[in-house]
Amino acid sequence: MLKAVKDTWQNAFERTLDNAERASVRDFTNYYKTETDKAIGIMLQKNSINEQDLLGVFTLDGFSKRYEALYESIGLTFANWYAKNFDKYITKGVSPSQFQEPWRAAFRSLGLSVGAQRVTLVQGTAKKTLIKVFRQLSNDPMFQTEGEVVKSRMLKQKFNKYNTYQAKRLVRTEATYAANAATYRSAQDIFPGADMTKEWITAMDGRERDWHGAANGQKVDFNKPFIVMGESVMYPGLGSAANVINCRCSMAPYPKPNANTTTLIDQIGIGVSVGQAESLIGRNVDSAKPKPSKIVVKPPQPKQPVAGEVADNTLKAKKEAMRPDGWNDVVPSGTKLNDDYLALLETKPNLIGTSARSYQSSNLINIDIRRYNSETMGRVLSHEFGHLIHQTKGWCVLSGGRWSKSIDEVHNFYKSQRNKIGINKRGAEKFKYFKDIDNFRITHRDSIRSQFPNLTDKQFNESYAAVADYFGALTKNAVGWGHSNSYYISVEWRHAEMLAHSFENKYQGNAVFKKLFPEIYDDTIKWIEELIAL
Amino acid sequence: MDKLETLLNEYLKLHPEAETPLNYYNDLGEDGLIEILEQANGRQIKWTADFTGDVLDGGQIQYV
Repeated sequence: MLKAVKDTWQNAFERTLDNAERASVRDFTNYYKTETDKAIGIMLQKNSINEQDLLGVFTLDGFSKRYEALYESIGLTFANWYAKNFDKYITKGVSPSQFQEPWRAAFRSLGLSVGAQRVTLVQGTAKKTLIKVFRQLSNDPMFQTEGEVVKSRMLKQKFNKYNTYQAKRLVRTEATYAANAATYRSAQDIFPGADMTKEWITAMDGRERDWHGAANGQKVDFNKPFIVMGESVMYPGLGSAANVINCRCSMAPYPKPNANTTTLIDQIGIGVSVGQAESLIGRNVDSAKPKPSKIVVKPPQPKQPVAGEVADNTLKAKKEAMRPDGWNDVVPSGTKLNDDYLALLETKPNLIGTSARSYQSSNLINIDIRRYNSETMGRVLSHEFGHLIHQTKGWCVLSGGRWSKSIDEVHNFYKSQRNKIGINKRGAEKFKYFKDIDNFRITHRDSIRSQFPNLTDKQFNESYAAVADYFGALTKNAVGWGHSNSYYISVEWRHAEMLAHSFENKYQGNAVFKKLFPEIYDDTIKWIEELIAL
Repeated sequence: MDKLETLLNEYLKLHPEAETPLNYYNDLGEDGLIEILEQANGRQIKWTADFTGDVLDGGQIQYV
């Protein structure tokens, strides 16, 4: 990218970021002020304060909602800012207006995921500060002699500074990540299937980190990480604290130049104001304005190398680049697993272990470490990472109910599997395929346990449950079990579970599935391999 | 007859029209499901999946 264009891009990015941050800072400052006022009331009434008194102040839910709103607001602003910059070059038939609701849902979900990791710490800091400041002031003889009105004013003065500082710090910590994550998502959606490059752009204002100055202009394939200070990051705002704190860098993704688009990146109208970008939210920008011819879309999509075909060192490097930071905190030593699926990821995910049930949401995977031990951890990891991969690859994307979508290859497999097991038939034929396993009755599980002497009880139960849930998904719980009937109302949610169990079969194996339904078992592995090869 | 089977039979006898709690197995696991059934005390169990975003395998249990 030309230097002048790069400067314009970065200036526009920072200007948009500053403006977008203001609304979120206001929201957080108001929240801090409201909660502080509540606490001051309690302090003056009791003339003391402790953790117990603050149970209804600075709640986890209150913070979570504001993280959700922050990511939604900044995310939508930047997804539209990016789309508007490339308005004239958007792939024919694609309009940013069609993505407003999926984007909104995705950014809110991202905000909730990020918030889930932050709120406990942020809440604890806020409450400790309230108690600390009040106790300090209480020891001041001048404060002690004042009446309630003056005391309230003195407390408010003290807290106002803290509230503003804390709100700004908190928003600034999230904003760069939210903006670049949205840019990434926007590029993915408005240039579907395009072969793209992305370029790291640093604010070269003399305050930049040396290693971010060195990263300025670094170009990599859209799906590959940048290497910054030896760290692999998909875009600015991600990585360790040394790369993230106060970072204002941006990333410019664009289709690779070809004969028609050689000067595309240097000609685009970069510099859309935040007002213009925000005005796009809810506006149909698929205007009558003629668009240039379709650019750099490779039909069919570029073939992804199958994990097993990649040279060992490449596979290993890619896996390590995508391995979540908390991996060793979650995976017990002695766990046997095949984690080659990590090489299919495009962004390093966040992995946490808690005693809450396991789930995947946006780029966050939570694992129930109370339930899964070294015997079963491999299975749940391949399942939840399977969900993340089918979402990021676009095979089956779930974005809040009606926005969900699966590709034809997934719909066709689902239909062919239903035909194979005969669940569409009527009468006795309908369940004939499952007669040998007594329709997954729990008594049947106990009766076949002895056929798998090499499995521990935990391994057997989780393996059997995976088989039951695969067929539960395939038959909408007519046969099998594992997820609620309401979970399986939409066909895409059934696809998602079939995909996740197929990931288990491919990467972890399932002796119970293989023995009970060998043909279907092989089908699932082949299915995943075909999807990877798309 | 194992503990889970006993609890399931008792529950479905009490709530013959209800969804089988085995459908919550993926989220709760064997121990979690047994715990939920033991704590039901005659109440029906309802599962609400999380459809607000792209949360997979998420949801909440309620007694009704």
